[in-house]
Amino acid sequence: MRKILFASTLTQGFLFLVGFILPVLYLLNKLISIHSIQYLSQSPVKKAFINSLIFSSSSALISTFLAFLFSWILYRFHFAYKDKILFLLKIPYLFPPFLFAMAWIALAAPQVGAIQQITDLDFSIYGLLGASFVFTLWAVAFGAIQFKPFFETLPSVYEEAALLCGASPRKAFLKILFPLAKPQVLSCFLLTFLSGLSAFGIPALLSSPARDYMLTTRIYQAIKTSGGFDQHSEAGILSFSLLFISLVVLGLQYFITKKSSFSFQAGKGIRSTLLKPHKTEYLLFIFCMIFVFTSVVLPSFALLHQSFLQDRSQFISFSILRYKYVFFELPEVWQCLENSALTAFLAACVAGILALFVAYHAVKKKNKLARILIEISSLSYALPGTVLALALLVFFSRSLADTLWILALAYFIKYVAFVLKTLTPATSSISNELEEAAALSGATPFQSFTLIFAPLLQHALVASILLASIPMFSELTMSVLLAGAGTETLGVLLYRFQEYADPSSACVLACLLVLLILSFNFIVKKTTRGKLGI
Amino acid sequence: MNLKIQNITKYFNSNVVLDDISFEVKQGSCVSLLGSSGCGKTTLLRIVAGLEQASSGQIFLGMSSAPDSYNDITSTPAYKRNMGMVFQSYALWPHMKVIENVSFPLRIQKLSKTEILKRAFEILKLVELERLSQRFPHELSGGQQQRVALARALVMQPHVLLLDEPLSNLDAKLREQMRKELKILQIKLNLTMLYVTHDQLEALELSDQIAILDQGKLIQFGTSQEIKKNPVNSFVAKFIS
Repeated sequence: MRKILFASTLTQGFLFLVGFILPVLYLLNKLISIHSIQYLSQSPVKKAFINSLIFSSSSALISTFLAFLFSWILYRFHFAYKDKILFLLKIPYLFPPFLFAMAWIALAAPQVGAIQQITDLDFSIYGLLGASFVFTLWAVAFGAIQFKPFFETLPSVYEEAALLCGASPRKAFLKILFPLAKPQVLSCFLLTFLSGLSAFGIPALLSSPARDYMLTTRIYQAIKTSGGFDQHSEAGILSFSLLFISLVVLGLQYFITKKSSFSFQAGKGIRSTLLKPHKTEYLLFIFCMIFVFTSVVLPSFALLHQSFLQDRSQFISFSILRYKYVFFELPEVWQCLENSALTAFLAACVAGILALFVAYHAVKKKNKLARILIEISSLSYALPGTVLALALLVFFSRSLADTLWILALAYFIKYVAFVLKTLTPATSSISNELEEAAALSGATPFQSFTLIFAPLLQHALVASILLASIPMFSELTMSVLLAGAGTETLGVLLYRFQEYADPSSACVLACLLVLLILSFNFIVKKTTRGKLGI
Repeated sequence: MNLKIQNITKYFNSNVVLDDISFEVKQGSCVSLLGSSGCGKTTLLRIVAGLEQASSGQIFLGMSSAPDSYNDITSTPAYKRNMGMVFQSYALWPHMKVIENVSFPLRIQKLSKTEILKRAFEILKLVELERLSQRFPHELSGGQQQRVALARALVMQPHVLLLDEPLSNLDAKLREQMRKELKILQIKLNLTMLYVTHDQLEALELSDQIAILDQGKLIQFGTSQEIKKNPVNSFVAKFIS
């Protein structure tokens, strides 16, 4: 058993070494000699820098505020159908943000957008403002996911004690609940900021057409126009800046999470009682429903509507011909679906199996290397996909860069954290006594692992593999840089259709993607009896 | 103040958790709600506190000297009832120091800074925690946390002090010590107390009267001697022995 554990830990360590640590160090080494400052002071680069900061900080600020407010309303007060609203609030998290950009293009592109056609309003979703708006809609779900553990573990007695001390519900919120949530609020802001900084799909589809470039889109553009990377290229400098800001933000987030979070007391009195809503809370609930309509219902309708539309200039002209065309007349669709499924399946399964052993090694055997690998996985997940893809491009020869292997490696590096984050707490929750009892019954360590530990974790394992394969299957940011001829994935095809050729076909594929993701989520929820999934 | 509980009934969906409960807690006396887990004693305490709504029935506060002047507080929100409560988990706010926890009710009342500090330190002195005023709750032992929770409930000079199994998280020795200290405090401050417990020893030592609950029903109400002498049924006899 020891040998298997060490082999798994070393394999994951090796994959991190060749797929993350060495490529990033190699990239940094190449960039360190460059006189970065003079490049950064160039006007277009400076503008991309400022645009990225405005985009990330404004969306992070607004989405964190809304996510906290909506989570408070939905977790702490008693409303009819609140579980369904909560589900709808969080569901965008499962989908790649560029789907929302596609939906909003269908809804609000100048002249042909559904809103423009219905209302005769003259506005455009393209530009920095539009991109920030759409990203904020997605990021509220991201925030709600982060506030979930806080509100689920926060005992209602803290607020109740304040009420009994004479504080009104509003005062109890401001003086007790908000200060308690401050570390989570700050952490959520920083992670959303980081997510905005790394975002590629929304900026590429919404702000680039208005020539509002950001760091990620400029890196992509620089690589595509120069045909590759050299140490004096703009892509290198921008990646370095992106990496630097990301590391600073990650450091801050790590510090806040580790140093300033509060642990809540346990006991019978900890059960959370739902509060009775009053006028303000009802108003906020209505606002939350309007938000959910705007962020989920409207975009879903737009994608569906667009996929059945025969003529983009006519709002009501439906046909299923587009579906027939996409699935039966475009061979690249099946090729891309196959590539996405293959790479996502391979990367998610390897991640699942290795993570099972690494989590066990770290939690039950207290192995230091395994623990370090868990920390590194959080780092590799948080770093911008564009930088990771660039590092892999620079580090590996072009021959490997054009294969599915590099995509699978990139997906593994980026998303193994998903699996570890599910399996590590699940491993901790299995009492040591269960294995000790097996040992006293005569089982070898291998037998107690396979007969006791692994069966107890099988649902969490399957769920975590499925959860990790969702973002892998629809990944765009890394794939758009790493995929070559014949290795394009679904995300890349969607982006190309939307950007250059055929937005209606892109919407057909988007609907397929939505259906697949919802099915995956359904299976995860059923397998884990609602513990995982949304 | 006297606390009068009149015909309180509570349903959770279609389940009756409290069935027509009525009794009175006189000014300066302590009544224990005694019963096994799930009998509804905490629910009744939370209804008295205003944290839960009764399905029917009323709660009154008033003086024995003027029986007609009882105020119906059934629909008064919790924050306007002036009732102190010690939770089982203590519910000390982890982001506030001891002094901040204790002075919170006074800050809500918008008293002057000097008055707040004076009263907070007086109460901390009473529970012998003056020297720990600058500590955070996680830096205190279980017994000390319990005293802070008590100080916070007392500092606002509540009409009634509600205690929800406040000693259950302490070890046996400390529990016994705190039990005695609580009784001394109750007599010293002439507190009206409603005390939830499943421990008959605790109920017998602390209370002037005991309300025995079973499956949401008030089985017997009286002094410990009365209940010991004349238990109404075998359940009470077994429970109190």
